[in-house]
Amino acid sequence: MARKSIRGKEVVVVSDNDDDDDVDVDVDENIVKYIKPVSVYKGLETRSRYNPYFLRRSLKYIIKAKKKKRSNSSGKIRFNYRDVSNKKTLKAEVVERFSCPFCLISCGGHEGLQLHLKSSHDAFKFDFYRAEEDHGPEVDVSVKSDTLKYGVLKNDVGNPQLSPLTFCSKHRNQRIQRDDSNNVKQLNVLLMELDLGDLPRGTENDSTHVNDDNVLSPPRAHSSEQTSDILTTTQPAIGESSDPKVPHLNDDNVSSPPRAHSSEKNVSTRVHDDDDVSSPPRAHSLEKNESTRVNDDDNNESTHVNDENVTSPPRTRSSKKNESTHVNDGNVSLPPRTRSSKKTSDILTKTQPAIAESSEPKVPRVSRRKQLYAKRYKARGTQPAIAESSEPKVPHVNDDNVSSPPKAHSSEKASGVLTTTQPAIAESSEPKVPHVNDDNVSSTPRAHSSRKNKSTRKNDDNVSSPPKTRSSKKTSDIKTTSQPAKAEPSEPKVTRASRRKELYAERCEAKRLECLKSRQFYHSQTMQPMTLEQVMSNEDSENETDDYALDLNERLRLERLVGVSKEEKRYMYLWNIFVRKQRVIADGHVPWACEEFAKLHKEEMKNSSSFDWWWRMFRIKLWNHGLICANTFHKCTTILLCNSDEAGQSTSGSAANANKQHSMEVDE
Amino acid sequence: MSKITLGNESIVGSLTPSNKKSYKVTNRIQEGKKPLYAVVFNFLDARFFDVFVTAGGNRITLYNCLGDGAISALQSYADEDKEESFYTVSWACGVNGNPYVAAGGVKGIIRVIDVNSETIHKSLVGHGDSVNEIRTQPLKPQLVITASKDESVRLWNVETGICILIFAGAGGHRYEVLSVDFHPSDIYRFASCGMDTTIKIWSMKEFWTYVEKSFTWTDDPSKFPTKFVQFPVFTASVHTNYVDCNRWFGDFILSKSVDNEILLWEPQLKENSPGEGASDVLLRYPVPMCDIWFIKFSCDLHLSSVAIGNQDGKIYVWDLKSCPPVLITKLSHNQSKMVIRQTAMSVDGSTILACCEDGTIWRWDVITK
Repeated sequence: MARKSIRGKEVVVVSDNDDDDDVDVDVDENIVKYIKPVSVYKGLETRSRYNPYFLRRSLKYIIKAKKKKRSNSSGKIRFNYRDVSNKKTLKAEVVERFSCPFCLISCGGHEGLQLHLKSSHDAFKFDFYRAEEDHGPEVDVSVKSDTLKYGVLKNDVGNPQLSPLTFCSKHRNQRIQRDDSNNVKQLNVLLMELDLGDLPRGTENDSTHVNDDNVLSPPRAHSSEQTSDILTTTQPAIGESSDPKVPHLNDDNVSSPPRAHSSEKNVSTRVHDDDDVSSPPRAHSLEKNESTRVNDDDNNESTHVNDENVTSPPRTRSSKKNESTHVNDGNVSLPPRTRSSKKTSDILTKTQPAIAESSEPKVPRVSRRKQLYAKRYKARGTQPAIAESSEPKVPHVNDDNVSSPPKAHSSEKASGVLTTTQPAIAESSEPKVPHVNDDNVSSTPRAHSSRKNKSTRKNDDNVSSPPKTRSSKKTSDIKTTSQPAKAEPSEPKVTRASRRKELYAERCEAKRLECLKSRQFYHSQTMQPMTLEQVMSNEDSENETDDYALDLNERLRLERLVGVSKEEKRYMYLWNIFVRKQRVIADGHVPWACEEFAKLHKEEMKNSSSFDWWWRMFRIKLWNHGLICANTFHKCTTILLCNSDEAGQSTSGSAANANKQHSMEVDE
Repeated sequence: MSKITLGNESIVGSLTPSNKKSYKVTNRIQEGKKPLYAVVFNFLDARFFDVFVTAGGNRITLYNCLGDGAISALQSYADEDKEESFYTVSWACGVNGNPYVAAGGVKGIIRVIDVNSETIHKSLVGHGDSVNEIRTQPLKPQLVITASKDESVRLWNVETGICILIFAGAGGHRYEVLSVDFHPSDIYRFASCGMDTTIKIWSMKEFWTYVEKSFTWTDDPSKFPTKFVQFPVFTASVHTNYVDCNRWFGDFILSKSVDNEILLWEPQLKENSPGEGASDVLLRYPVPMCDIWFIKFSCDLHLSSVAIGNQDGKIYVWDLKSCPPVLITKLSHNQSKMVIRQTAMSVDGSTILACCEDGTIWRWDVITK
């Protein structure tokens, strides 16, 4: 008996020596059936350590079972693997802690194990029994005849590289949210190791300039082929832990089918619910591809993005370019407006936009993930190119995707580069689009100018579409996000957003100032040339109300009246301009206005009896119309009589009273 | 709006010249090929009564009238922009008495040239279209008033280069303003006329403080509080077509349209009733063959006679002091066949200059018997 000890398991291989050669062969074949795809399950187990959701996702009941205290002391169960034909036990295994021998998942209890075995490993037939009273439970495992007949086993998940699995998850969002903190920390650590020294990085200011070429990644001509190659190379690093971004995307992505086709990379063979595991690998791959410009920000951001972002790169890589392009096109057609609630890659795919031509099928996939991510976080986009999609998320996603290895690879295709280079800064924001353009241009200085133009142009097109959908402040986000050096992932988004806004505002301000200095400006009404300081100052000289002219006009107007005495005209003039200046508009203002007018023109009233007369007549008229009460009337009169100080105090009090009483009072 | 009441018809002058005075051509200068639109004697400075300036094309030229019909060119200024075409020119004065020449044209910029230093003293920017006439306030020669195609009239201080007032708006002209003139004695008043067939009399009395402020303004000219005057004191519809020249004749106005005559009429303002009033046409001075617009007349300093050219190159000199109007003489030369855009009479009326469409300047001197 060969005894192999695997962690947590004791594998006892029982072979029947009595078998002849044929039987041996059969035995071997039969044993083969029971061989587990260790690599896959190991990875799953590893992942489950970081992210318990791996377990939770598929084996809910197991989790529940975990909560129950394990009744059995050790939980040892003996698995007997039987040959169907001769009913002999080919192999015996003792499993501890109720862990499934096939997928190494620890189940909560006996019942849980039973259910798990029946559901997850339905290629085998299980018999649960207790051989003897004091023996532990045993399980007889035999291959189902159906399985043998249809040769399912041959296509079993033995070699991840041959057949990638796709995994559909429903509650990704929730999971991701919950995982953020964990991932963040982890990712932080990992990403910080990247050596960014070699990467040309634009300053903050530079990055804020649209269409600057000095932004982002070092000039590399990225060829699509290279990129893909690179991706493949990096794949392995990521591949082990993760991959199935594809599966994730399936939910949202229209393009998932194409992705499925990307068999070359085979990244996705594993189905991972979480992208967490993939993120570390991605970090590694990033390191590998160190050439890519990975901003600290990006890294940080990517950490945030975590789940989705991390996985996205691999995904993108895996997809065939053609496919992705195809997908992109399809997605591009979708209107940006759909982004709001959809996680779908639709938007993402769009982002691929122009870049799609060049390559990067990845974009679509990545973008989708980013999109999802973007929802959670405000995407900061640096990641160029894909910007097309108006949805904020899209750029976000792109960033993530881009950040992964591709950066390292210069490809001729700007888009490709862009997508790759933009590290996850993932907060997707709509504005990414413009930035994307810039990034694209900047990241591939080496790229052929024609290419650049092309991509830029494309981006422009793309950019133009999103504007509607773009939220105002986010544009700069993309760019700004790349900048924040080593921003902690946990850094409050508000700060980042405000920073983005500031940078955007700065840029706009700079543009505005430039325009203002460009030519001679004139005042609009007088047509006098403006001096530069006048132009730069914020004062508005055109909206002033010309009191003098208005007063004059009023006076002239009144002077035209016929049959009115001069004093009356004088009084009317004074009252009219008072009302205009003090903006006495409502009925309720009138009592106050009366008192103030009296105070203002006290001198004139005292000196001119006729003025006083007209003022009184006017007050009577107001009282007739019910605009002032007798109280106010009286107050106004007393103002003239009292000296100024007393009148001021009394009127302030009376004004309050007068305003309260609007009803007419019979004056007695 | 003018109502001609019965008994108040205007008197038309007879075209039979009296020949009280006669003139002969003493000189003829060809100044380039471009039409000359303005010729103006200097009435401000007694030292320069014989100096006149012409405007045409992109050129401003100063000449001196010498004895025996001689004319000597003194200075010439050319705008570096070949597209500029000066339409009008006027003499002005600095605060120190130094003579300025203010010229404006199609570009809408008024060039104030200091003729003593032969430099541009100021360039007044502000009009939105071509400048049709510039006139100087004789009582305060730093103030010039400009009439523009942009339907506005602007008052400038040429010393400081400030635009003080803009006469435009609801009550302003509704078409090109072709001519302006200051009142000889009332410093606040001036008259403007334009293509909207109206003649408007404006007053800047209420804004005189701004005028005075403009002399002492040290800040940037564009920061000056330029005021808008939207309502004239009086509007007259004496003519039924473009009114392209008006001059004050005391409290009366001489104005001409494109209907072959100059009118002398009295604006009857109503006190305290701006905008209302009547205009009483007193006399008519027929000028045959004068039905294109932009032909301007001129008077001598004492307003004793008025000289006007016509499309045929002839000059009619009317006596302003006689009623019914008397034609003093009619000047014609067989080589003078082009449109005479403007005439200029010397201070005493002994010299008459005419500038023509073909760029020639004709000098007529009175024959002393």
